[in-house]
Amino acid sequence: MDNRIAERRGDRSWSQAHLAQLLGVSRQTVISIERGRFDPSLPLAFRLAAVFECRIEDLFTPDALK
Amino acid sequence: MTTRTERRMKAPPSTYVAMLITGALAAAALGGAAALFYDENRLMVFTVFAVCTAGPMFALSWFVFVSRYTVKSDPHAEDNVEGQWYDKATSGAFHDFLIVAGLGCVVLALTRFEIAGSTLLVLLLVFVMADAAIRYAVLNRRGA
Repeated sequence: MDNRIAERRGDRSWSQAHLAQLLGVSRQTVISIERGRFDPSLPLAFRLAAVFECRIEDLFTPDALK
Repeated sequence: MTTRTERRMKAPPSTYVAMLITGALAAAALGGAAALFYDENRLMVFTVFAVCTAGPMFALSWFVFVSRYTVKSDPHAEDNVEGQWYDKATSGAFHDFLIVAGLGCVVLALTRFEIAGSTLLVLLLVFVMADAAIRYAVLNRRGA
């Protein structure tokens, strides 16, 4: 699943550690999500959307829709 | 997640006393239980088993009495990638265990080789733990 987490994070000049702290997860989790190696749980996806003030669909694109 | 502004959590001294007493009693009970199954050197058996089980028993009683005060639960623990790595590693290790145990049964039946149950259990335990640890390390390396 593609995502725009790194792009959105860069727009806000946030470090991975800062985003991880906002989400309440480990920095490694943020790294893995950004690299597309870990699909977040639904609650975490909602928290990501809340943090970036957007919809989940604005952050993630399923492979089937590419 | 801990931050620099959070205060370090402390447990009441009474919980440490309870931990020490319970851990010592549990280790002594295990030592006593082991001594019942030996006809000779019961004091030595009691001492060896009590000393060897003291560490795990103190750790267990720390978990029961102290950890609730000193370890803050992580409400988002399941959202971390490390949790997924752990699940994958232990799941893979379990399947490896089934294969190894099955093949081992076949080999033992064919060769009529005799091995002590305690030795076999220790070997299997070490194998599964090492398997899970290696699998976790590989997943960690791939994800890093």
